[in-house]
Amino acid sequence: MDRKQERAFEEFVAQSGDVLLRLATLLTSDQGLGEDAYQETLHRLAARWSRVDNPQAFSRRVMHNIVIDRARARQRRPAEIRLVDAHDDGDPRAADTTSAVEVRPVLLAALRTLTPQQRAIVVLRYFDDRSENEVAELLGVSPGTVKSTASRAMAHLRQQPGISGLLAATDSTMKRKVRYA
Amino acid sequence: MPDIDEDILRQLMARATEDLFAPRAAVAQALRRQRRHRARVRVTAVAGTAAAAGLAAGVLLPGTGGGARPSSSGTASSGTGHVQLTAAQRELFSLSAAAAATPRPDGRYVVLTEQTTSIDSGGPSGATRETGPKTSVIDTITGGGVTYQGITVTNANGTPTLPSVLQAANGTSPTRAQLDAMPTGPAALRSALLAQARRQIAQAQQSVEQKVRAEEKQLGKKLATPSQPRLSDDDLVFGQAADMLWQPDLSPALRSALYKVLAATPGVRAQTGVADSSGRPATLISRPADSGGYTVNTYEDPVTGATRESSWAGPGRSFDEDLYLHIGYTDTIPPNPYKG
Repeated sequence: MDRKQERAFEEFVAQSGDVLLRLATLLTSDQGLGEDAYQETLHRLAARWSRVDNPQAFSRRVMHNIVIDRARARQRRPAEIRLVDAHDDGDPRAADTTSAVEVRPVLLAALRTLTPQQRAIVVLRYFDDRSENEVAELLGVSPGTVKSTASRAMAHLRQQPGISGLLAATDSTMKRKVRYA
Repeated sequence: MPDIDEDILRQLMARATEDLFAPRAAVAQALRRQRRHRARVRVTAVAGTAAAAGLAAGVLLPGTGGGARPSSSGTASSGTGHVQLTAAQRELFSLSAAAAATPRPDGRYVVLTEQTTSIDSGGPSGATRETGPKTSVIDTITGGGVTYQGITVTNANGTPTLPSVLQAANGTSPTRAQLDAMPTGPAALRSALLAQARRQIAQAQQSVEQKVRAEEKQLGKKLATPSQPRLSDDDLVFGQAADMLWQPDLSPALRSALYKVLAATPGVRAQTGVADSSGRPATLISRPADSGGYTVNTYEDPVTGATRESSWAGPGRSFDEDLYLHIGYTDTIPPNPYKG
């Protein structure tokens, strides 16, 4: 990497770093693991910077691979999740403007009940706003798989007690917003 | 109403992460690793680590300030354990003396031949292996130069080829004048390395804060400034010193002083009787990972104090290694040895 490329890399991270860190947090469903995955993604991106045509797509693919690799390595069991603890922190329906620190543990706990592949599809599709075709290309699966997996994952998420509480709270907030808009 | 759920999930995911900001230190760390690569435009490398077999070993205890601290468990253990005395310091001072007694040859260009191998198991095209020789020609006056490489890449997409000649712009490597301007007293050098590291961190922190303030303005609410990795002075000094040792064109005085700085840095390990990846005898210098989870190992020639191999191990399977086969000096740029 020469200095010009180094500046371009810094610029890319300045523009996309926050989104990548947030993606990593959602993909790993853990803030600490997300930071690690983010850091590792940057390293791999920097190492290949001069040969990467599309850093946005490359970084997402690499991040997904890192998350999958580590999930396999850890053989994490979804049974370890403590949804109740997160939910007991306070009734999320009480607040109209639920803050990040309140939403995060509940949402991440719910995301942890998905498989890494389901999580990747839901996160890329709805957080990263990628089309079904884009997600399919990024993850190397068919668009049909993206569609069906996303639908199964949504159905699964709706059944999570923590997330359904949040969904209900936000649902009513959104409906109000929609109505008075 | 699945549509509503998806929109709401979208909103929840955005809200759950809106206070997360990427630490600038992460970029600095990625670039620091790349700067190690930049001088030779290297392609990363791996080799079987030969670090396992240490005959004599030592570690400076944290908090001793580099001074000797008698240890009850401590002297000359017979095997692989780390002797908690000043064995590390003895080895580092020995390297310092060896470096001071080894003159730097004359010649404008440093010609460095390396063997590089890289295995990246998690790339977008699956496992990628890059291997081959590389010769870097560094102009010690301008800091520019050229790299010739015969690297073979193999991954799921076949065997893409890498360019065999890469030009490095002026200033890519430190010039000899810049290196020779560094202090060579251990205390002054430590201060200079620390100041350099702190400057980098301050720049990173400033940039993070600016970003948070801008985001606060946009969101209309107060946000917490994300914390930076907490690195001790010793972490910083070791990182900078290890990077500098990796430079091939140090004066004997500077290389000698760097070993003395390491000898005064708690937590530094020195293992003698190990071999580098090509089987040459070496002294291995290392320090447990900083908070980023990274470990730098450098293998030094016990006779000349020159670096023979330098490796960087990150979390997961990330691992790079440079194995120096030959370092020479010339007054003219040699032709590409891998052509044809």
